[in-house]
Amino acid sequence: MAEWEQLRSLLEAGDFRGIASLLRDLTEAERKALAGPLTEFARKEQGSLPFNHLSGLSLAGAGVLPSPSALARWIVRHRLYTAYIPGLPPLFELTLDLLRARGVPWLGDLARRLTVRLRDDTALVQLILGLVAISGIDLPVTDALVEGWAEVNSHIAPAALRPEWDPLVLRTFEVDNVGRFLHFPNGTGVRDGTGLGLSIVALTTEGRFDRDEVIDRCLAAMQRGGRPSDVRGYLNLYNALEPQLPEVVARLRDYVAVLAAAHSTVAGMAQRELFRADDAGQLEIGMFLDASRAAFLRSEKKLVQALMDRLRVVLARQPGAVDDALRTLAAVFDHQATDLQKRALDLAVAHAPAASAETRNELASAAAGLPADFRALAGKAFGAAACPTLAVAAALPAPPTRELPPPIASPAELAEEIAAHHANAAFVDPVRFERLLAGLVALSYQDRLSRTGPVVDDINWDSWLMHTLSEHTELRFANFVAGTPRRATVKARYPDIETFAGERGWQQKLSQSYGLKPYSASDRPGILMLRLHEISIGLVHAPRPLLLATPTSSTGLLDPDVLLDRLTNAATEEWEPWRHDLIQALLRLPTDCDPSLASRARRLGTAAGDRLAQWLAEDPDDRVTALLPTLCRGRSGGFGIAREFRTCWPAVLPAHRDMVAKHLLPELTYTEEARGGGRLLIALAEADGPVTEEMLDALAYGLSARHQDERAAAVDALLVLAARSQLDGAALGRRIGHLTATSRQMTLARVGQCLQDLARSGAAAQTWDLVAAALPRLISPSVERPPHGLADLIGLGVELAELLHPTGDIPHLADLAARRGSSRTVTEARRLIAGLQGVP
Amino acid sequence: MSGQVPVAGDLHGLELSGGMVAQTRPGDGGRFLPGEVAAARPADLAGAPVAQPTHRVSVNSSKHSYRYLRPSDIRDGVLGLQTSGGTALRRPAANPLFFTGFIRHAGVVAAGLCSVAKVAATRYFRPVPGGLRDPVVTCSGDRLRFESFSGCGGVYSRLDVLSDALDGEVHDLGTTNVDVGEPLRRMLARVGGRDPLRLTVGPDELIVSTLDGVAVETKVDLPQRWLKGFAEVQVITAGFEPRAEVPVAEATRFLRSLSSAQRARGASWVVPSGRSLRLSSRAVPGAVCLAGPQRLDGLLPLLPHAKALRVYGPAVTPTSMPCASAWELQLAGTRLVVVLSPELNRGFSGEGAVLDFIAGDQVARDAELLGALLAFEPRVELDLLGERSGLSPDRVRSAVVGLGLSGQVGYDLAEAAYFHRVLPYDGGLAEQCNPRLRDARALVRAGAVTVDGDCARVRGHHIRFTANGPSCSCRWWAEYRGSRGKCKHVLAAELVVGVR
Repeated sequence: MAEWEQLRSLLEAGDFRGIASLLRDLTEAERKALAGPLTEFARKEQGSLPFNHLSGLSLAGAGVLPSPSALARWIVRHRLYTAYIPGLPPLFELTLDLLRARGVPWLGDLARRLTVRLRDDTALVQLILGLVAISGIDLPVTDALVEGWAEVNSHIAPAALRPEWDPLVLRTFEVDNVGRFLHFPNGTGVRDGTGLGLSIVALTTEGRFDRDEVIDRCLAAMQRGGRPSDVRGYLNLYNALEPQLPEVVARLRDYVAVLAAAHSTVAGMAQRELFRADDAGQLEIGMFLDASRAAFLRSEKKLVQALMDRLRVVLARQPGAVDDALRTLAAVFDHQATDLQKRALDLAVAHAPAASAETRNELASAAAGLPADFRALAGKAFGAAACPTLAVAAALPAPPTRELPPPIASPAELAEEIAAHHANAAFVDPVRFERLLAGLVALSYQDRLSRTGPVVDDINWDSWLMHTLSEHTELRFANFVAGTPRRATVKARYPDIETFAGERGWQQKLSQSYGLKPYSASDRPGILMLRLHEISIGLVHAPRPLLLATPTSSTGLLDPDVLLDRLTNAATEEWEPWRHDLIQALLRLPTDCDPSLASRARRLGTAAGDRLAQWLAEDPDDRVTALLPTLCRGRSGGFGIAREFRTCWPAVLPAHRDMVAKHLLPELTYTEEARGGGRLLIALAEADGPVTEEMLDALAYGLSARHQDERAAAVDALLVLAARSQLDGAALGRRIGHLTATSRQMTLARVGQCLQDLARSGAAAQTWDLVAAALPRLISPSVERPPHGLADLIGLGVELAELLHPTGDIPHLADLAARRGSSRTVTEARRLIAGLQGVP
Repeated sequence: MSGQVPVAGDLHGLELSGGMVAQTRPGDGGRFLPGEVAAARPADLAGAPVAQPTHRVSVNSSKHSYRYLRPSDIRDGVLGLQTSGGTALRRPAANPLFFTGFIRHAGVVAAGLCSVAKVAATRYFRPVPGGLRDPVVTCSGDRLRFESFSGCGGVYSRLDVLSDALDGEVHDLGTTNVDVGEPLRRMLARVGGRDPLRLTVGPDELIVSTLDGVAVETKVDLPQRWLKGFAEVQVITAGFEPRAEVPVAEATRFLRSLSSAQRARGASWVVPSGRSLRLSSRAVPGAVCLAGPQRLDGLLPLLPHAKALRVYGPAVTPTSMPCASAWELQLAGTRLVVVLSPELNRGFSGEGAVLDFIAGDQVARDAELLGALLAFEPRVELDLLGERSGLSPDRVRSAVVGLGLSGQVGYDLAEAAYFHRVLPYDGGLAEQCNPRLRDARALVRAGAVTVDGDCARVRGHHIRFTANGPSCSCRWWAEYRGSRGKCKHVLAAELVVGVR
C-alpha cells in the first residue's frame, strides 16, 4: 500500500509528472492493486482536491484502470484540464505516453469509446487522435470529433495535415458549427499559408483532394446555411479556390439555390458567379430567370438592382424571352422599396409593347398593389388594372380589455397564486400582484380569526409573506417579522416600528441600496416598498380584514364608492387602516370624483374618513405632487430599484400617468438596456391622465428601442392610445423630429418600421399627422446630414397621402424636392408633393 | 388530378390482391412492423455499443434501423427515393414501392423535400452532434405526404404532394421511412422548375433484381420523447384555426425582418396588420405565437414559388401563455406546413396534450377498433367511421385523438381533417409511457391524495377543481398555468375522484 500512499499524495499535490513516472513501469498486478483505492478515493474524497488537480485522476486512471470501458467513463468524468505550469506538457500528452508505456491491446477500443462520449472537449479530441495514431484503427468520424478536430487544428499548416485525417477534412463541409474554423487566421486578404481553410486549399491545388468535390461540398455547405460566421468560413475557402469559368458553368443550379436562401454575402457571391457565366454567354435565360425569381424578394437592394440591370441587358440580347422575363420581373412590384418598384416598373413599361396581351394583363394585375403614381404609369402601359386591395386595416383594433379576476377565495388558491408569483419572476403583473396581496391580508385575517374552519395548517403566513416579498429583491424584507407572531386583534394599533429590533438596520440597508448615505430618518423609500413593508408587519402585529387600496380596474384605478365602503367597514368594525395602504388608496382615486363623496367621508367621523375628505378637497395635481417628495427619491425616480416591480408603477398612480412617465423617463431613455420598457408603455397608455411631453418622449424612445419586441410593444401602446382617441399624432411627430435631430439615442430607421406597422393597423390618420409633423424638423435646411431612414419616412408619407388625401403644406418640403439630383430622399419628396397636390 | 392516380374514393378500387388488407393488419391495434426490422431488433441491441453517451439520455430510448437498398438519388432524370420499413397494405415489404411516375412542378417539389429533410436533420435547440431520424412518407393513393420531426422535438414539417403534381401509378398504400441524406439534398438543390422529373418512391424492379442485400444501413436512437412529440403534434394542431393569410411578398418581408436578436429570444406574438403581419408584445385575440423564428428558415427558399402564407394557431386571450403555431405555404400542386412548439426549448413531447385524453381505458379500446377500419385514407371521415364502428360521435372523436397519440393519424390543417398513416416505429408510441401519469399513479398507490369537496391535497400541494378546470399550487402549474398539460398532482387527484 506504500504505492497507493505515494500516488495519493501526488494526486493531492497535483504533481502530474510525478504521477506519470510513478505509474509508468508498474506490472499489471501492481496496477490492479491500485485501481480499487483510486476509485474509492475518487468517490469519497474527490471534493477535497483543488479544482486544477482534479484531472490528475484521469492520468492516474490511465495508469491503473483495467478495461477500456471503465477508463473511457473515467476520463470523460474527470476531464483533461491542465493548470498552466511552465514546462509541463499538456495532460493529454502525459496520458498518451502512459498508455503507450502500458502496452495494452485495447487502445483502439478506448479511442472509439471516448469518441462516442465526446462533447465539446478539445483535450479529449487530442487524446483520441493520439490513440487512433498509436493503435492504427480507422478514424471514428463522428460530428463531435470533426468539430473538435477542426477547432484544435484551425491554425494548422498544410504540411501538418496528415493523410489519415482526410475523411475528417471532407466532413468539415457537412457538420454544423465547423465553418468558423475554416476562417483564415489573418483575415481573407493575408495568406501566410497556414490555417485549416488555406491548408485545404493548398492541398486541393496539390491534388490531394479532388477539386470538384471540394467546390461541390463548399457550395452545398453554403446552401445549407447556418450561422453567418460558419457560412463566411466556407465562402472564404470557396473564394480562395478561385473557381474557373468552366467550373462555375458546371454548377449553375447550385448558385441559384444559394441565391434563394443564403446570407447576403454568400448570395452576392452566387450572383457574381452567375453574371460571370452570363458574360461568357453560358447562362441560359431560363436559368437566369430562375435565379431572378429566387432573389427578387430579398431585402438586399443592391442584389435586386443588379439583377434588374442584368435583365435589361439580357432582354436587349434576347428579345424573344420578353414574356417570361416580364412575368418574373413583376415580383419586384411587391418589393418594399419604392425605388426598386419604380425601376422594375420602368423596365416593364419599356418592354411591354413587345410582350403578349396575356403578359400585359398579368403585369397590370401585379401592378395593382403599387402606389397611385406608379399605378397610373402602369395603367397607361399595361391597360386598366383592378382596384388595389387596401393595404391597411380600416379600423383600429379595440384595446384588449382585461376583466379583473374575482378575489382569491381559498387558501389553496392563494397558495397557487404565490407559486405563480415566484415562477414568473421577471416582471410582476400588477393585477395579479394586487390580487395576491388582497388575498394574503384577507385570508390570513380569517385564518387567525377562526381556527375551526377549513384551516390549512401547513401555511405559515409569515414565512410565506417574507418569501413573497423578499425573493424578488436583495432588500431582505421584514426578516424579523417571523420571530414571534402575536395573537393581535383587529383593533390593535399599528406598532411603532422604529422600536423594532432590526427595523433600523433594514431601513439603513434599503436607503443604501437607493444610493442614499448615510441613513437619515427623512429618507423614505417609494410608496410601493413602504406599503409592502407595512403589510409584512401589520399581518402579525395589527391584522386588518382587508386592504383599502386594492384596485377595482385592471389599470389600478380605485372606485371612490368602493373606497368609501371599505372605510365605512373600518369605522363599523372600529379598526384603523394602515397608513401607507390609505395613501395608496388615495393615489388610486380618479381625478374626478363625485362631490358628495367628501361629505359622506367626513360623516364617518374617523381619521381615515377625514383624510379622504381632505384629499378630495385638494387640487388633483397638487395633492399628488405634495406626496411626491416621498415618492421620488432615489435612482429610479423614487419608484424603487426592484426592477421586476417596475411594471407596477403605472398602477400606483393610475390617474396620473404623466407623473409616472416623468419619473420613469430616465429608465425608458436608455433604450439599449431598457428591457421591459415596452410593457410600461402599454400600461401607461391604458392608464389615465394627460399625455405630456415626457410621455411622448417615452413613446418616441420606445419606437426606437434596440430590441424588436420592445418596439412592437411601443406600437401596441400607440394603438391603445389611438383607440382611446388620446393619440395626438402631430405632437408625437414633433417630439420625434426634435429628438432625432438632437439625441443620439434616436434611430429614425427603426421608428419608420414601427410607423408602418402603426399605419397598417388602423391608425393611418394619426400616423400621417405624425409624419407630417416630424418632417419639417428633419428636412429643414439647418440639418446638415439627413438622418438615415428619412427617405423611408417620406415614402411612408407618400403611401399615407394616397390613402388619406390630406391637405396642407409641409414646411421645407418644396425646398427639398427642388434640390438637384435623384437621391431617394429627393425623389420621395417630389412624389410626396405630387401626392399632396392630388396629382396621381 | 391526373388520369392514372386513383382518387380517394377509388382507394379501395386499387388493385390489391384479395384480402390483403385484413391479413397484413395484425391484431395489436393496427400497429405493424415488417418482419425484418422487428426480427432484427434483439440482435441490434446486442450489437449496440456498450458505452452510453455522457450527457443524460432518457432510458426510454430504443434503437431503430434504416435499411435502404441503395441511397436515394437523382439519376437519368429519375428521383429515386429509397424506402425502409413501415407498413404497406399490399405486401409486408421491407422496402415498399409506393409510386412511380412523373411529377409536375419538379422544382417546387424538390425544394419542398429539401426543406422537410432539413427539419429532420436539425436540432434547433442546443445542437448536439449525433444521429438523426429520416423523414417518413405516406402514400394515400391520391397524394404523397412527407413528414419530418426535428431532432430537438420542437419542429414538425410536412410536404403534401397533391394529385395535381403527380402523374403516375400507385403501387401500394402505406407509410415508410425515406432516405433523404446530404447527397440527395445536393442533387435536389439542382432541380430546376422546368426540368422534367420522374419520381419513384421505393425501389423499382431494376434495383430489386440487380442488387442483393442492404446497401445503406444506419442505426439511430429513437428516444421516447421524440416519438411522443412526433405523435402529439397532430393532437395539438387539431385545435388550430386559420388566423392570417398574407401574400408572399409581405410574408418574405416579415420573416426576413425578424432580427437575429429576436431569434434568440423567447416567444413573441404575431398579429395580422393590414395585408401583412406584425410583431406584437401581447396575445391579442387572433394573435399567433412565434418562438424561435429561425425555425421557419426552411420556408424561405420556397417563398418565391408560393401563392400565400397561411398561419394557424389556437384561440388566445391577453393572458395566454406561449402556444404552438403552424405556418403553411400554398405551392403549385403542393403544400408545405411547419409546426413550431411554444418555445425554442420546448419539445412537443412535454406539452401534455395526451394527458387530457388518456383518462379511460375506453379510449384506447375504441382507438384500436377504429385503427383496424382505416386503410391510409387521405381524409378520415369521422361520420363514416362512426357508422362503421357503431360508436357515438363523441367516442369517435376521442378515439381518433387516441389514434393520433399512437402515431396512427396525422392532422391536415388545410383540409381540417385527419389522415391515416402508421408511423413506422416500433412499440415506442405507447401513450401510457408518460412519466407524469406514471408518477400520478404512484402517488395514488402511496395514498398521498386526500380529497375534500372541490379541493384535494397531494403531498403539500393544493388542488382545486373549478368551473375553469383544475389547478394546482405546484411549480409546474405556476409556470405554465395548465398550458403544458396537467401536473402529476392534478392527475393523481383526478384518478382518485374521477375526471370532472
